Amino acid sequence: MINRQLTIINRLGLHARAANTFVRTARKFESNIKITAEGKSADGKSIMGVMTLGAAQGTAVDLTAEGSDEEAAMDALETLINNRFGEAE
Amino acid sequence: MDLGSLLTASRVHFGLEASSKKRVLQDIALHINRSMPAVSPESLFQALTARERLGSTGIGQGIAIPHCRLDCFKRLVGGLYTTREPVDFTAVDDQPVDVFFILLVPETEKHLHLQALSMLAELCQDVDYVSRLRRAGDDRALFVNALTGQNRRKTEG
Repeated sequence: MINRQLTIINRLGLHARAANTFVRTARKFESNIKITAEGKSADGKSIMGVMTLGAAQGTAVDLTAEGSDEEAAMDALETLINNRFGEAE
Repeated sequence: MDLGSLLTASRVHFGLEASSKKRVLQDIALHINRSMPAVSPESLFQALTARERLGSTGIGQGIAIPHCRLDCFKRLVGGLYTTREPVDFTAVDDQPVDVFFILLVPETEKHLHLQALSMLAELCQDVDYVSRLRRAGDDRALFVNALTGQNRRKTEG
């Protein structure tokens, strides 16, 4: 199991489209993904779950990946968050 | 945030006849225009459609949350619609959609938008709540079920 602390940096935060992008990336991997923000945890492969976090710009999130491809999954999700989910700002 | 602060009975409608994604969004835009005459149905339909092009707001289990930002929205408001038959909405789980939560977001709003999405996602994870919406039968019951369902959740949790 691996765990990383990241920060949501895109201006709009983990809004619906960003949550969708996150979940679509997470689902490419076999590993279980958990995302936690401000005390709330969600299954990283559930769009409703990820949306319940309501994580705004500047929120610290804690990502956990567990499974055969946990390294690759974590790297992909970290890149996504740090690339602002492909958004311009 | 609670749903009661976003919804009014005038933006709730049970059993739209629409049978395509386009018609659902058109019908919703027309219905919202009735109680918000400053919001043109054409521009609202265009804005909702433009948002859908970036990726469907169908979040799974027959639920979608179409939303958009427009200059003319003064504050964050919501709407709730159901269709008589589930409609293909290219949702994440490929399931057709019959429950539509609408969010109209002011251009500059960020935090309330996230809070509203979070609240809606939490409500929609409750299968009993969503099934009470589907069974409502008319506009009034849909409005009442939408609000009482969430109050029940609050007192329990």
